[in-house]
Amino acid sequence: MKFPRIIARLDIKGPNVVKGIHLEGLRVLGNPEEFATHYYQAGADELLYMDVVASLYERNSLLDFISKTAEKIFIPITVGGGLRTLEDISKVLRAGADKVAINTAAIRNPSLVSEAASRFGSSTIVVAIEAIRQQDGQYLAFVDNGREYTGRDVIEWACEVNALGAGEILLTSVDREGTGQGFDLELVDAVAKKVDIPVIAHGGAGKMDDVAKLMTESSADAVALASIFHYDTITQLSSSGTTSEGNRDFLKSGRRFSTVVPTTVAALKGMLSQQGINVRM
Amino acid sequence: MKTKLSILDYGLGNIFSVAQAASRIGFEVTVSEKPAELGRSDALILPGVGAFGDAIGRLKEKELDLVINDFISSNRPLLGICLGMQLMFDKSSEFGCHTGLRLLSGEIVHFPRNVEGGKVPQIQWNKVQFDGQSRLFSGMESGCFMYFLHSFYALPADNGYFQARSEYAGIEYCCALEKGNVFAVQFHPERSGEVGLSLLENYYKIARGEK
Repeated sequence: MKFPRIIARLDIKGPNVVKGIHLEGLRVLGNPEEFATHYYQAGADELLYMDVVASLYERNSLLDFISKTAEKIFIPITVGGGLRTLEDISKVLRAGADKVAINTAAIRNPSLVSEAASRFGSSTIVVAIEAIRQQDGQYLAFVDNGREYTGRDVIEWACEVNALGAGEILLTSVDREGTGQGFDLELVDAVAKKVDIPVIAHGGAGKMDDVAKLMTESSADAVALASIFHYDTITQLSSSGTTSEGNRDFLKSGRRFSTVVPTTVAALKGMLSQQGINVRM
Repeated sequence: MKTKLSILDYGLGNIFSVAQAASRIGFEVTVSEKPAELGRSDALILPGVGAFGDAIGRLKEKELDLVINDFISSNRPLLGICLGMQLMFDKSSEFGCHTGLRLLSGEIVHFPRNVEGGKVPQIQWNKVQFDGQSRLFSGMESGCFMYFLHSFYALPADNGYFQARSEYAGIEYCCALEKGNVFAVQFHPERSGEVGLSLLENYYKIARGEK
């Protein structure tokens, strides 16, 4: 039986959890350890840490963070962001990650996928694909958070990644990410129906119902969620006095992206379960 | 006196998580490939993520298959996790035909491909069902969720010992077993949250002779 996974995604820059706010850049949301512990206790099925790397210092603090959370969080952890070589991957796995996500390095050098799969095991290697829809309906793969053009067709690249031995695909709709407008179901199915490895959908969740629709109307195997959880988490953590001033102002001003209706892992799983979608309870 | 657990290091898999969980439970953990060190333990864990053929090759090369056999003959507990469980059987068809440790009779086969409702590998939480008595699942409920990550599963030839079942890609298969002091789980208890930790706690109690 299939049990779609609810994965909590943390974008991490140095010592902070951040979130890209449409047209505003990055906003600091809080402390990664607190967020990770919160989601583990809340019943998330897996955690995904994406490193917004700016410097070597920040990379080392990520490795520390992985080790710290791996000591007390006993669910799978996937780490991605700026991983370029087999050595980078090895460091992250040795720090305690269960899986790694690679994007730029893979698309620039596809043999990295097969080498990594061969050395660390296929199931350890997740290839992240960032898709932007073109005017003619085709999806093209981008890197660097949707900023850099590669010219690769998403479906074709996904099939190649499958053949190279990747264990999973993390598929992000760059168009939908952070907008709260719902998932691009056409994109998800275009990939999920063509590959025989699991596909994790990401980008667009604005309310619980978007996730239900994703599970009932597409072949996604898992979903990675950020905004929809984080905007609730910061409220909960702020009530325990740990949120920074900047966030309290942000919350008070009501300026969080208005199309996202925050929810908790429990509420989401409860709703999915009620709709007959099997999830781990 | 602390209960000593050795995790067999034969170069495959993320041993870190298993070691973390085992320490958390209360074991004094050693990660080793040295027969003398392994021989001094109260309990063993055979972990594994990777290919069967490669794994059995490495175990035999380091003579760890002999260490495992001696350990079991001395009546101390052994727990196989994921590939570790699969290695205990007679043979596997992964990338050719390979002979396993032959601690249990049966073989390892691949999930059917391209079946509706089942991508391969299975990478998800799934339900573990069981009835009857088991030391490993003591105090736990049938239907509990554990985390799975695998493409192959075991087909035991003998059903005379405790077996737990799970269902995936239309197949109901053995996902955990207990035969005397030989224990094995297809899922990853070290990655299955608090429920996984309680299974490891049961293993700890078994190692201490409390079960």
